[in-house]
Amino acid sequence: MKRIFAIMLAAVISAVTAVTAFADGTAKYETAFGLFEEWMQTGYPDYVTGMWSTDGSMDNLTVGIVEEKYSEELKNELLSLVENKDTLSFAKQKYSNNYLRSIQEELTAYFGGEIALSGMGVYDMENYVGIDIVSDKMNPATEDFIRECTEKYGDAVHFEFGSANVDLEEILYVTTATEEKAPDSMMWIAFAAVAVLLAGGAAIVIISRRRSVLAGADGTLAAADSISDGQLESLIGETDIAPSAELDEKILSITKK
Amino acid sequence: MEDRLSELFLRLRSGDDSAFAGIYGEVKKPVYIIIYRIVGNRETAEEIMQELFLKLYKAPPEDMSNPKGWIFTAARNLAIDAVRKRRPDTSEEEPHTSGEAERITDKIDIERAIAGLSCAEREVLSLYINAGLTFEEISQITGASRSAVYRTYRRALKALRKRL
Repeated sequence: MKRIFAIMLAAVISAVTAVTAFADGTAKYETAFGLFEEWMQTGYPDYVTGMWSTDGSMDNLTVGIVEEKYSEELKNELLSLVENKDTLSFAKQKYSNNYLRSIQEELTAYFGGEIALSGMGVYDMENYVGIDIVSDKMNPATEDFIRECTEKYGDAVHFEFGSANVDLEEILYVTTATEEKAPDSMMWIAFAAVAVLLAGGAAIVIISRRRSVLAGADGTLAAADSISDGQLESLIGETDIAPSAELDEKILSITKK
Repeated sequence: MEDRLSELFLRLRSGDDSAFAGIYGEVKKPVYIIIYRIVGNRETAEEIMQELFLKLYKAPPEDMSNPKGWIFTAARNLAIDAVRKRRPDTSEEEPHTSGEAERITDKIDIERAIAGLSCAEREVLSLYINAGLTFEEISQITGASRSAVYRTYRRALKALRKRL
């Protein structure tokens, strides 16, 4: 989802950005944005977790690098590609973007079935696959899906629960139609309108969410209700009931008899 | 847990006694909780635990495809048998009011609230939360449909929320 905004912003900026020759002849791109543009075309290398704006603008970007590859050497290698080195920052993260995309690809098979899915996307900065669940349509298959995803992917997936009040497909359809009608000279306005509409849609989606929760290691959910299901599940899970040491001893001695 | 359990079950079946301790260590807590929540007292729960693990040691299951399912099904069946033997006129759905839960966990309101649920509700809660099974797996163990298991689970949470 954020990726869509990133791509649209990239498109807006690229429409008004000219290709520049570089002074020292070694750097390939004037700013970090050039590197982003190339990776948008070629795909991220496996060591990249994602790329996002450092300060809200597209002038300064941060590249996420997987922990095991994060090194001064790699950072210098990337910096050498950019003339204005101040525009490129780095962050250490856990999951490669390609891995997160492979999870997303695998899970898209569940759309249209029993699972109450309403959306899914790779969140670069947060470094997870965000999975939107329609809480009003929660059912056993969806609860099992959440638990199985959490067991399989751990914190590489993040579930968000809300009402499906906004149809993103509809927004995309409307904006695409706007884009088609726009004259070439006004193309940047159409791109800007797309970005504004998408941002507005996202805001509505966020406002309409009644709760946003993170799946724990055991698949239980933490929610914001007075006593939420997640809190109850935690309480039940943290019980002190356990076999006594004497019982342990008796049972383990079975093999000695 | 499933892969490790399968490996341990295979080793036990091939005569490796050291695998028994491994299996016990892996499952003892969730299995004990399920038995305890069904029978409602420590003494009976301990007897059933011994019976269950003796049975496992003497005759490990031939089918190794679902060791977790095997052990929780066996634990549940033994616990339900014990409840039936002890209280032949009492249905499973009757609220459980053992004072044992209060003695063990008197500072934990949740255990008192759980003790007031029906046997089926306690069982589903324990299998889902403490044993980490899916609704599908619980459905296979209990013989109830997945949607029935799910309804029981939701009903149990609702009842608990009222009691807390």
